[in-house]
Amino acid sequence: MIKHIKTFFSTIKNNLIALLTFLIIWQISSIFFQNYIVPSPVTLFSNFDNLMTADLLNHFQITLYRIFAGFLVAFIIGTILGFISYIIKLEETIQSVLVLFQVLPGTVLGIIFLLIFGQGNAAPVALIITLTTPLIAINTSNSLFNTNKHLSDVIIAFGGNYWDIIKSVHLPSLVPVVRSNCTIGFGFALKIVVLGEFIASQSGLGYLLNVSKVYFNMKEVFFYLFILITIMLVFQIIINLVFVIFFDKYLLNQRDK
Amino acid sequence: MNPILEIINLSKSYEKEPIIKNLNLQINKNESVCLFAPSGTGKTTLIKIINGIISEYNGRMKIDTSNISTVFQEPNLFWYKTVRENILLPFKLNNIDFNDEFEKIYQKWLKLTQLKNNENCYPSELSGGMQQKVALIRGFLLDPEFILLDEPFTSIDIRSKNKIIDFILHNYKNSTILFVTHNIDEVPKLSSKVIFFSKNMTSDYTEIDLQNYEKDSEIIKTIFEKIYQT
Repeated sequence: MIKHIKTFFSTIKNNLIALLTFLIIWQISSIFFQNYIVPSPVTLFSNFDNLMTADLLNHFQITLYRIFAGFLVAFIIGTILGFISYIIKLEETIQSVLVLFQVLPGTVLGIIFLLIFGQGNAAPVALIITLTTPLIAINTSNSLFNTNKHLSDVIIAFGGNYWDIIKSVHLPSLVPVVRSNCTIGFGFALKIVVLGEFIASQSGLGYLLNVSKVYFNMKEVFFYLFILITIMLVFQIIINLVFVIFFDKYLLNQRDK
Repeated sequence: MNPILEIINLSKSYEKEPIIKNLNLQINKNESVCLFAPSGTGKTTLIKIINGIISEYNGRMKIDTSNISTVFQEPNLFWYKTVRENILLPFKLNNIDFNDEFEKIYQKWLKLTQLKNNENCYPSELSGGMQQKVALIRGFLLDPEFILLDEPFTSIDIRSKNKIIDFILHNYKNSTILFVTHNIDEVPKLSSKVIFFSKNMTSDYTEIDLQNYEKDSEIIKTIFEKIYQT
């Protein structure tokens, strides 16, 4: 357990360094620009009470729900698709199709989904699923492609079958991939939800950002951005915690690299 | 003669480039045979055909045992398994009970290879030599009837190597060993016969019976002469 705690803290150390770096860059940038363009983090946090409206929690919950709904679907479909394309050795063909989806402009898709689903949860969620699934699938098959193929030889040489290879080589290799899918996919989903709420919603942090942007209320813009960054950071910490506790041994290779 | 392995007219090509061509080979039970051939001539390919990793080839092959094991050139250990778990993998794959007798031999191996204190370590915590020792134990522990050794001592120091070879000779007298190496001084220690391929893996090879020689130095000299003749 102590070993786990140590590993966890050494992992979240990087997340905290990233947050600190962001705050420092933000603070330094605010020196060079007027307060109404780039308000400093200090100014922002001193106005924290004014920015925390009762309505904000509602919008926050809506955004969080959309991110998780879209991300979970994209994560499951993308990981399975990437895994299958690797297993059946069709990764290049499937990747070519997925790359086409990846280049679709999010704004155009957002408007299409707005016309199909109308305003509400469906359009931003559909946008996340459409744009994040290919990214996760490609990441999965690319990462699995780097698996040590000699381990499959060991299984065969010692009398194992194909199911043993899946169980002992492919599935354990998937653990670090799932972890990176969580980080990459969730970050991407976070960006997409804002885009989706910009275009096709009257609620959520993306909508609030849009309204604040229209009125050039940069304090609010930066505040909502800070909330989005915090969501990402908390999610990463949770993911690190889960993987360190339950799947630490499967990440040994990755940590050595 | 009681053959454990019979290879008849075996050929294998990679992208139309023949690597093994019409090879005929027989290895008898309890023999310890060394395959000696230059690099890139298909020794590892042959090992992979024998142990079933490569299933597409021309010709026929008959193996008179199912208790076959391999020690690869690279340790190929499972990164998420401890030393013990890696060694016990063949037992798990074949649903064989790891009984007290196996435990005794396992402990002997650990003592011999000085891995006793590393039993619960993961491969990333071991040196290359230690990892190769784990792979050797994994290959031998199941007491295989036929064992394929593909340059298994590459990263092991000479002292440990000699100890391990002595241990194998003493404890695995009933096993048939097919041993591939580049290292001439390993040949007389572990083999009773050398099959010498001058170029490619064809039936044009020379068999040297090492039992006709009294000293290791004579064997090494003979192999050297064969190399220089080609």
